[in-house]
Amino acid sequence: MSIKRFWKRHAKPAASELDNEIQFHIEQLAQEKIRLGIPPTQALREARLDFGGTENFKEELRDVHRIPFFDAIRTHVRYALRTLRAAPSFALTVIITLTLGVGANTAVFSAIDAVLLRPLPYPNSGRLMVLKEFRAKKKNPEGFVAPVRVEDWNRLNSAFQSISGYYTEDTTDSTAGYYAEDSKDTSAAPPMKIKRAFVAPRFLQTMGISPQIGHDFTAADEQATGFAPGSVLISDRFWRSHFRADPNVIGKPLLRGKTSATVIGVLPAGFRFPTDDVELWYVVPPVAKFALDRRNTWYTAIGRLKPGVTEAQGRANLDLVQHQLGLQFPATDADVTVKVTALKETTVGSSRASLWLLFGAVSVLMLIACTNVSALVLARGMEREREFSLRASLGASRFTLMAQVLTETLLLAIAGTVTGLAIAAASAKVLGALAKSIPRIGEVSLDWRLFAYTAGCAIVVTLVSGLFPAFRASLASPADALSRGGRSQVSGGGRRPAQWILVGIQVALAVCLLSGAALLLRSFAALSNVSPGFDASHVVAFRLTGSYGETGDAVKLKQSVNRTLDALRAVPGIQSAAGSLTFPGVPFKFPYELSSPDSAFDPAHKITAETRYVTEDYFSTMSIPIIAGAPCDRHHDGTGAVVNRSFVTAYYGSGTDPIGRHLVLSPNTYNIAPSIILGVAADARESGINEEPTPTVYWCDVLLDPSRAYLVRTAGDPADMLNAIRHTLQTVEPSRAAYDLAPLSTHLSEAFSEVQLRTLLLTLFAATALSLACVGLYGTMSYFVTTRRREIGVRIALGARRSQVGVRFVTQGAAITSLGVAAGLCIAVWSAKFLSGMLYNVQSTDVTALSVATLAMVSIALLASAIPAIRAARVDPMQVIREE
Amino acid sequence: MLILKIVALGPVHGYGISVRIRQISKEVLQVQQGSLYPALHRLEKRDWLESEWGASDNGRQAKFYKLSAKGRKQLAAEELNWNRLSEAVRLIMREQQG
Repeated sequence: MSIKRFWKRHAKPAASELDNEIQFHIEQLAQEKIRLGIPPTQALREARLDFGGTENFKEELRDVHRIPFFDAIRTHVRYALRTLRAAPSFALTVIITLTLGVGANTAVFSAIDAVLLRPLPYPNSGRLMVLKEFRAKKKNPEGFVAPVRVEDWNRLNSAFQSISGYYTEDTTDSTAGYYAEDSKDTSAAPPMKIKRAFVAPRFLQTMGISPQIGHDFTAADEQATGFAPGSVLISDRFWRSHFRADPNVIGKPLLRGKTSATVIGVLPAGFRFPTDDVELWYVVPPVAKFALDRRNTWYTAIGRLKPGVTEAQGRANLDLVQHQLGLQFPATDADVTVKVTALKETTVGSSRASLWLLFGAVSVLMLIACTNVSALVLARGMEREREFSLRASLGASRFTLMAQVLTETLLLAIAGTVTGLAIAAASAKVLGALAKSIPRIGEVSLDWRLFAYTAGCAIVVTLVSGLFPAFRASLASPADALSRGGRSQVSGGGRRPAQWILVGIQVALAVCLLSGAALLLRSFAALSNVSPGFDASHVVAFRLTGSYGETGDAVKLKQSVNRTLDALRAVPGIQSAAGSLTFPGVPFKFPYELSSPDSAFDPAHKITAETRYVTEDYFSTMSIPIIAGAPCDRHHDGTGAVVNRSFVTAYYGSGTDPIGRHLVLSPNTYNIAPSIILGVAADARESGINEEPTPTVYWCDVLLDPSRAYLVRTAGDPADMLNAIRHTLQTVEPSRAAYDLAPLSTHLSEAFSEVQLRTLLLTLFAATALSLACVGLYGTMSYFVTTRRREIGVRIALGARRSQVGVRFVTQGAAITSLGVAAGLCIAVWSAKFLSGMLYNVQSTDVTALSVATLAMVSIALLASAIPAIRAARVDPMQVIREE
Repeated sequence: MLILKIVALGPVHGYGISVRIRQISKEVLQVQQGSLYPALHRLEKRDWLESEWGASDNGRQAKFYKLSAKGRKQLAAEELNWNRLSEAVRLIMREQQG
C-alpha cells in the first residue's frame, strides 16, 4: 500500500467535516418536515429526534476511523511517560538496575561474539583445518609435521583443496639472526625483535588471500634448492614502517644481515597469521636437502577443505593417506596418524570456558536485575491499585491494563538498554586492555549484531520483568480497592507473597554467583600461596632473538650462549645466570619417553618425564636445592643430566641412588649417547605452578632453539636490574634483541592473567548481584513498612512494644533470606560442576567458600531489612492517627 | 448491500440515501437515521465507497458517495449471495406449504 493510500485510508476526517455532514442531514430532514407544514422550530426538533443522538453517532464515527493498534500504542506511551515522570526515583532505580544488568551482559556478549561466534577473517574460514602429526603411543602425541609429509598429504589426499604449513621465529630486523660478529651497526638504535614466518608452498592459496600489492611466491621460489630465501612477503605494517608505504616496493631488496631477499608482495592490512606480530613470510622449498628427512618435523600444517567436504570426511581421507604412507615408509610413518582440528578451535583455545562462565554469570546478573525490576513494578502496581481499579471501572479492559504496564516496562527497558549499551561500548576497551591473553579480543567492536542482541535483551527484560506485574494489574477489580477506599486498609502485604518470592529468587541467584566467586577466589588464593619449589622473587627472565638457521652450527651457538651468560654473571648485582627451555612455572609441557641402558626398568611401564634443557648454574639461579650428587656444569654439557625426586621415586624407587646411571630419549632417533645422571634435584613446579611436580629430567645442555629462556638471579629488586641487563646484552650481542624481558614473577602473573581476570570479573558480578538483591530486599521491606504504617501506628498505640514491631519485620526479612540462601546453595552446588575445571586445590563444594558466600549474603540482607524495620519501630502513632 | 445498491445508482449524499431506503422499503425498514453514517464511513474505509464534497440540489455543500470499482465487485458478489439465499429460503418455504 502506498503512503498516499495509507493516509487516505487512515487519515481521520476533521471533526468539523463530520459535523457538517450530520448537520446537512438534519437540515434536510427539517426542511422536508417544514414542507409538510410543521413549524420550523418543531421541525428541527423532530428532525433531531429522527436522526437520533448526534453525539452517539459522532463517537461511533470516531471509532470507525481509529487505527486501533497505533492509537493504543501512542496513548500507552504518552500515558507511560507521564506516569514515569511523576515517579522519577522509581524510574531511575529501574534504569540503573537494568543498565547494570544489560551493560555487563552486552560487554561479555561482545567478547563472546568476537572471540567465539564470528568467523575468522579469512574467506570461508570454516574450511580451514589445522593438521598435526599424532603418535598415539607417545606421552605427548601431538607433534609438528615434517615438510615432506606436508607435500605427501597435499599430493595424495582428495578432501582438501590444498595443504600448507608454517613455523615462526623471533629474529631482529637488522640481521637474519645469524650470529654476526662483523656487524658495524652498533651505534644505531638497538635491534628490534621481529617475528617472521616460514611457510610451505601454497600458503596464501590455502589461507584464501592474495597480496594487496605484488604477487604470491612463484613456482621458482617454491622449488628453489638450498636455503637462501630469495623472495619475501611483507606485512602491511612492515611496509608502512620500513618502506613508508612505497607503492613501488616490489622488487626492492630486504637486507637481512648477510642475506638479502626481494620483496615480492605486501599482504593485506588485516592479515595476521600465524600470529598477530608476524611481519615477514618466507617460503621453504620442500626440495631443500634438510627438508627431505622424514624425521625432521617443524611445521604446523594447515589445510583448506574442498567445498562441501566435512571435517570428518577430511580426517578420514587424511587417515587413509597417512596409512598408505605408513606402509610405504614403515620406519618413520607407521605410527603416525593425523590430528585434524578446525582452525577456529585452535585459535580460541582455553578462553572458551572462561567466556561462557562469565556469560553465565552476567546472564544470572541480568535475571536478578529483571527480578528486581519486576518486584519494583509490582510494588508500584500495588500503590497504583486504586488507579487501576478506577480505570477498570471506567471501562478499561484487562488487556488495556496489561498493555499499559508492559509499555511502562518497555520504556524503562529501552532506556536501561541504551545506557547499558553505552557502558558496554566503554567497557569493551577496558576489557580488551585487561584481557590481552584472550585471543581475538582486539576484534571486539560494536556492530549490528550487538545492537540486535541488546534489542533482544530489551524485549526479554520487558517480558520477564513486566509480564507478571502486568498480569497482576489486569486482575484489578473495580469494586475491590475503591470500596476499601485506602483509609482503612490494613496489612495489605500479607496477602501478597509474589514480591517475597521475587526477593527470594534474587537472594538465591546472588548466593549462587557469590559461591562461584568465592570458589574462584579461594582457588586463586591457593594458587598464589603455592610453594613452587623454586624462588621466582629475585629472578629476571628474557629471551633473545635468533633463528633456526643457527642451530646448524651447535658449537658456535653454544659459545654464543655461554658468552652471553658469562657477560651477565660479570654484572654487579647479578648473582647468577642460566639458560633453560622455558620460563619455570609458566605452563608449558614437554614430556618425553626415556629409556635407560643400565637400569632394569619394567618394559611394560614406559618411563616418561618432563624434559628440560638447562645450562650450568640453573639450579642455583632458580634456588632449586640439589638433594644428592651435583648440578649441571659446563664439563657435562651434552653428557650429563639431573633428575628430580619424583623421577627417582617413580622409576627407581625411593631410596635408590640413581647417580651414575644413564638415560636417553626414546626412541633414540639420532643415536645420541646416553647422558649420565649427575644429581637429584628437589621437586619444583616446572611445567606450571598450578601443576603438581611430575617426574622431570633436566638435560645439562644448551637448548638449540631460538626460543631458549634466559634466567638471571639478582641481589636486589629484579625490576631495578632490567636496564643493566639490557645494556649488557646490547654490548655482548649487538645484533640480537632481548624480548620478554621482565621479572619472572611478572611472567608468572601474566601466564595466569586469564585466571585473574575471570576471578576479578566474577567477583565484580557477584558483588553487583549482592547489591541488587539487597536493593530488592530493602525496597520491598520499605514498601511494606510504608503501606503498613497505619497498622503499625495502631499497634503501638494499643501497647505493642517498638522492639516487637522491629523484630517482626527483621524476622520476615530473615525468613525470606534464609529460604533464598538455601535455594541458592542448592543451585550453587549443582552448577559448581561448570567451575570444577577452573578450580585449583579447591573442591567445588568447598565449605569455606559456600559459608563465606552465605555469610556475606545473610549479613548484608539483615542490614538491608534492619533499616526499614527500624523505621517501622519509630512510627509515631499520633502522627499516623492524625493522617487519618 | 442495500446501501451499496442505492449508491450504485449514482452519486448521492447521506440524506438522499436515507430517503431512498425509506422509499424503496416502503417505510418497512425504519432505522434511526444517524446510524447510517457509521455504516457509510465503514464502507468508505473498506474502499467500497468513494466520496467527495459537492453542491446539493439546494446549493448546500454535501458529501456525495459513489461506488468504487471494488464496491461494484462486492455488490455483485453480495447480490449473487443474496439471490441464492432467498431462493433457498423460498424453496424451503414452498416445501413446507406443499
